[in-house]
Amino acid sequence: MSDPGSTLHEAVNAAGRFGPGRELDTEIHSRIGSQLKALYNDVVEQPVPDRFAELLRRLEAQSSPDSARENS
Amino acid sequence: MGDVSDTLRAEFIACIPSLRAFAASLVGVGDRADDLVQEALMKGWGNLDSFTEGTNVRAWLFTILRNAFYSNYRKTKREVQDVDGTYSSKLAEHPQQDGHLDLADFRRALDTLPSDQREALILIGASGFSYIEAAEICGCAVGTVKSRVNRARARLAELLTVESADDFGPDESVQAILSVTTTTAVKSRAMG
Repeated sequence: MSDPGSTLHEAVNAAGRFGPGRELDTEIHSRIGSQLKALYNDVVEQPVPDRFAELLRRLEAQSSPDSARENS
Repeated sequence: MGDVSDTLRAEFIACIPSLRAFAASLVGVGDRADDLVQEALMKGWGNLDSFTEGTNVRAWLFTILRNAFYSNYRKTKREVQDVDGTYSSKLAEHPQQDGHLDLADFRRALDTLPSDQREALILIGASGFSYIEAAEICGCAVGTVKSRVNRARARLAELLTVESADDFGPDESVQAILSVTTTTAVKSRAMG
């Protein structure tokens, strides 16, 4: 007289904790991977603030490795 | 003769989006993350002689950024996260994107991981570094990165399966039993 609802519940938990339910395990791991990328890419895909292009121009003007070598 | 610095500048610029994402995972989305990226770029540019040509510029800049974070920001990390709300506040705007586990839930789960595990997981799972590169960035053994990533995945799987298991409705059956019990009790009281 097992309750089908609780069997599913146990299977899902068992997959997470002990890993015999390989399919559920794989599914949850691929979900973790895609969530992680979504979170990260949310920032990666943002436009780069202007301050960085400006910063690199300034750095290059100040102490370009080339000009340092040429001057030495 | 600006070819070398032009190439390097282009490479630095190409690294900025992922440096910003990595910085955001350490100090939260916002100006502090960009300050950290700026510091890493300045230090990188100032220490180009310590860069081995032909090696991975991105991994090298990640290492510099991480070192800058640990020397400057570690003490105030918790405070910073509270102020900026890390990724979470931004993610609140997103509708549920992946069934019943939305990104805000995922972010909360990620936040509960020890920082070394979270960092290893991000470098491997999101930044796309190899285990060897991640080990170099974190200054630890490859095996250590592997075990951190495995522990992080196992812990997240546990947290997220418990959440999705809750959605399958064990609570409903409990409630059904409880309501039957209550009704019966009420009935028997009314009858008695």
